[in-house]
Amino acid sequence: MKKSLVLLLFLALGLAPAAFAASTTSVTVAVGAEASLTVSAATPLTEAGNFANYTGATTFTYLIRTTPSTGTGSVTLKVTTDFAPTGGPSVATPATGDSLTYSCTATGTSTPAACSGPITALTTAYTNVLTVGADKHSTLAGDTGTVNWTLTNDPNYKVASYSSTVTFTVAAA
Amino acid sequence: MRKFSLMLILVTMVLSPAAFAQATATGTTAITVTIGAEATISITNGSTPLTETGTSFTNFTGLTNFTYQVRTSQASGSGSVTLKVTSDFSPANGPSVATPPTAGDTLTYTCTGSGGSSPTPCSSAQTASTISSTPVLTLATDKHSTSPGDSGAVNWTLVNDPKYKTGSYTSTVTFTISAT
Repeated sequence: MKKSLVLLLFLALGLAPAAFAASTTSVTVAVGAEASLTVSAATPLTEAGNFANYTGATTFTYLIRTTPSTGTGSVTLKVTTDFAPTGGPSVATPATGDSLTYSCTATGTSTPAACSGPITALTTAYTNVLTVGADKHSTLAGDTGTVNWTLTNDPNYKVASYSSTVTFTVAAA
Repeated sequence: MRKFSLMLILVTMVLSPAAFAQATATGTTAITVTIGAEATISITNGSTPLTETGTSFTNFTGLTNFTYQVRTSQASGSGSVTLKVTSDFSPANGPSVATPPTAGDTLTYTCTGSGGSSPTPCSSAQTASTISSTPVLTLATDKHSTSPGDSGAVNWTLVNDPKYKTGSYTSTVTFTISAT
């Protein structure tokens, strides 16, 4: 019994280094600036009273990571499809004094700087919603923002329902 | 060593696309607005003094101006402006719309209106009433005022009855605009 115990001990000592020896791999990940965005699908505009301007809000969440030191990020929007059918409001060719404008709010760990507004939405160019600085990071669930819309209520609009499409773009560098 | 290198390459290949994917991303929202028939009216002069041009019992006359915004429907829409004496002259012993001291002591008016909505003003002198609304102007289908508002006016005439006791008398007239 004593002999076998000594033998087992030697075996264990001898085997132990071999059992923990392994080849290694270096797991690397290049984490770059990136961003994603989710926008509320529908934004109804309503009026509070007769010939009060139409108002509504679009909410969005965004995930963002910007590069340290020189990085930047932004959310912009553009009216990619003008109001239809014709006879109502238009972003591309509004009646004099008519406009679709917006202001912005935003919060989160990316410490966004929201547009102060009112900003006139365009079909020809993206306009600012918010910006973030270098080395900024949203939460994993996403930071949040809101665009508050105001559409002129022109008596000249024909009675009907009108719809347009606004595309939001988030960019990170 | 060869196995290690191969594994490292594979790991890098798998991770790189994820790390650099999408420095930009987009999302869209559909902005919808339902525009209905609607109307609003603003009386330009909150007070309408009636005065007489002479001293020999010529009728009292005055003018009430108003602006209005309106949008009527394309299909069978219409609009109107009406008025009603919602508070008769007071104090007593002067003119009265509800119970004039003499038959024929009326408060009458004529109308004018102009603007993008192409209003049709009341065609003849109307007698104001405390009981029912009376027409000022009408609007047809698919009519639209200008954005600042179209304009109208009511020209008042109050019979100058010698029976009225001297004094200052006030009544309230309510203008109503509607659109379908």
